[in-house]
Amino acid sequence: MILEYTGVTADRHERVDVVVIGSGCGGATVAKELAAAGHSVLILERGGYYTSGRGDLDQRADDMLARIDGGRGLDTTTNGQIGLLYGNCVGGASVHYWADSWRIPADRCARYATLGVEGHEDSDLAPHYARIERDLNVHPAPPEYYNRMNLLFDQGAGRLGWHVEPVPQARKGCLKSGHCYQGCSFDAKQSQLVTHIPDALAAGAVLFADCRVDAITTDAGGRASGVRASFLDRRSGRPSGHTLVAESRCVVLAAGGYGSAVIWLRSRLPNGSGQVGKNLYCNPVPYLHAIFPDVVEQWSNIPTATGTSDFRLARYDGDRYLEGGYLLHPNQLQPELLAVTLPGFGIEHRRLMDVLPRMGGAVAWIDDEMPGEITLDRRGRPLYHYEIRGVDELKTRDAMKKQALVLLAAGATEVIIPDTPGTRIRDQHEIARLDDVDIANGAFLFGAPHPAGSLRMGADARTSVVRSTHEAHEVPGLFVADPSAFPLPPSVDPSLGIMAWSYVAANAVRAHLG
Amino acid sequence: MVVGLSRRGFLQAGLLTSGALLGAAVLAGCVRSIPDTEPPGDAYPDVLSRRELAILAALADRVITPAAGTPTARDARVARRIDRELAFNDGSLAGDVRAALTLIEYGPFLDFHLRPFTRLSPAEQDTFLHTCAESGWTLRRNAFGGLRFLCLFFYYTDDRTWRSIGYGGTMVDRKLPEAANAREVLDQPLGSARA
Ligand SMILES: Cc1cc2nc3c(=O)[nH]c(=O)nc-3n(C[C@H](O)[C@H](O)[C@H](O)COP(=O)(O)OP(=O)(O)OC[C@H]3O[C@@H](n4cnc5c(N)ncnc54)[C@H](O)[C@@H]3O)c2cc1C
Repeated sequence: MILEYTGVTADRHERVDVVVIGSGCGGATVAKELAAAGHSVLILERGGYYTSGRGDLDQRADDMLARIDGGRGLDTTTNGQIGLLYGNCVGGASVHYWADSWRIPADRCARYATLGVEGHEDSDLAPHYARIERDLNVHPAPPEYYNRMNLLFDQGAGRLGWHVEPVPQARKGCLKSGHCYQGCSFDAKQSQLVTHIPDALAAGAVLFADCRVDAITTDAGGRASGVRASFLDRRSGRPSGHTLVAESRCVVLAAGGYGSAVIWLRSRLPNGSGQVGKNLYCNPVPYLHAIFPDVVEQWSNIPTATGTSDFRLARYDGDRYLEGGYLLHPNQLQPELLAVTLPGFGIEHRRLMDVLPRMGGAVAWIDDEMPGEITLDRRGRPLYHYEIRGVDELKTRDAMKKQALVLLAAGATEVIIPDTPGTRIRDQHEIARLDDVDIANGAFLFGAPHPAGSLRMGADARTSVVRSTHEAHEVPGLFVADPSAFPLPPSVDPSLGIMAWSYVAANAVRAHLG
Repeated sequence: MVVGLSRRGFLQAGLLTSGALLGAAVLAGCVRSIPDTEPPGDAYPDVLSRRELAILAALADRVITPAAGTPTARDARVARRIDRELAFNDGSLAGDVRAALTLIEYGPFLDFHLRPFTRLSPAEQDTFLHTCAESGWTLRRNAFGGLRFLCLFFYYTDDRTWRSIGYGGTMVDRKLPEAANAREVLDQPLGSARA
């Protein structure tokens, strides 16, 4: 059963075994597991419920960012350097996502273990991955899903001697519309909306959409005892006036890497380690545009059928950074996001828009090491403090150089840097200019769709927020099941890893409930 | 840790600077000459004042050069769509946009113009906007960058622009969201979408 804002006519009081906050990869996975085990589960989701059947997923960026994105597409870090992309709908950011589905590499799991994470090694997660990959139809992108930009990327990479690989995709019957980040109109992308959410509902879970959790409540002994929430009026995004009080035997916090720490801080839960909200990683995304001699139409077909992991791990000579520390892919932006990320204004910008069909691009996810922080302002609104700096700046510049290399090798006549002056690179000798391009706030806008780390897992309550069972060190009965618990970013797109960790969390919650 | 200029910092610095600039403008006797006109049909913005809307519309005119046969920024009601969008934001964005508009409008005084942005000729406006875009002063750069982003987004989501940029459009029919910022709903009062 799904309750939406139109169905809420009075305040509500619920009593269940488990309240799950958030309906994305983290929350939906835990919810369906616990419901299937016979527990009463209430999923609370701040965003609305949008389906292809009702025609809600209309492929238009103005409509869809308003529906499914946390900041309606306009949220940034406090310095304006990074655009934050995150979910705000039933199914969470997976409704947005590109469906690239990587396992967390074994080397990163081993690194987590050195930071005090137990039971999340590659071998522990393997059975969960197998299940997820089956249920979400994860498979390498077949050749017919390579759009022109993907083919060009492979050609360029081939000329440079880089190894490329088909990117595993969570799709079934994809119609190649290319509107993945606006939500799939054909239910082909295997987001939580069409997979784990229906599974959870079929197993008896109840979902309240348009319901914002304001605070996690605790009993006299400091145990999580439920939540207080406000129903939102979808027409304004503001509270409708009706509230919810839910009592539960435990609470699963899965409001996403940008959301969970916010709820923790607003609830004024204990923070003895001082780590709540700290260690915010977000995989900043540098991208370059490029003009090709022939039509590319980067907005058609799937975004990233191909890519290279050659540079996933950074290489150092002693302490000196050499190269790498990112995944590298062809880029896909729909025309409106191309328009806002192309440099210039007036006639200069018009000239670039005139050649839009010939515009291609490349993108990278930086495996960041220099975290930011989430705090609240006086009104309790989140502030995301983050600046690309130190070794992350070196990685970012190196990623842009590799992008320029591959785009030129693929036949681009001109690489366009989306900095304020709109720096152009026309041959390999000019690539060194990327060392000097101003990437500070206001001069360059990065994206950041992969938040993690702000409620990190570890064995020591003095330096971490949750244990390896996902239960909070200081709040018994409160479990975190989203990438906020990752002690470091996973070095690949995170969705599959989030779900696998959520299976581990679900087992721990089941043990807790007895 | 707070890195860079925080949003609140941006706002406060923006308002302080705006206040100082406004003061300078008043001293120079220029404020009375700032137009209080609004784009036709946009008499009742949701969040911005009519003057702010007029500044935004003037800025959008410079940011967007339409292709032949496509709507201008005013036809696309870019400024008014941004204003409607601000109504759905929790408030911080509206504050930033207001501060940015004040910086744009009164910024020319810093560059020894004796007129505000809306009173400059189009060529002078372009020169001034280039100064903002390339400014070493982060606040100024951010102010223009943020407004530029909004103008371009709300212009190129107007489907009448798509053919001119070689984009074939969507594969499904449009369905407006409850909290829509579309041109089609701007003359309906806020929050009047059917539940
Ligand atoms: C454009 C884009 C492309 C991406 N592409 C990929 C990709 O190809 N592959 C990949 O692996 N990953 C990708 N990602 C990232 C991936 O989608 C996310 O990491 C993942 O879906 C996050 O899942 P989550 O459960 O942690 O959080 P979310 O999916 O964000 O879910 C959290 C939910 O909690 C809700 N919530 C927040 N606060 C409250 C509250 N107070 N009360 C109630 N509910 C609340 C939110 O509305 C949200 O729906 C992409 C992300 C974006 C935005």
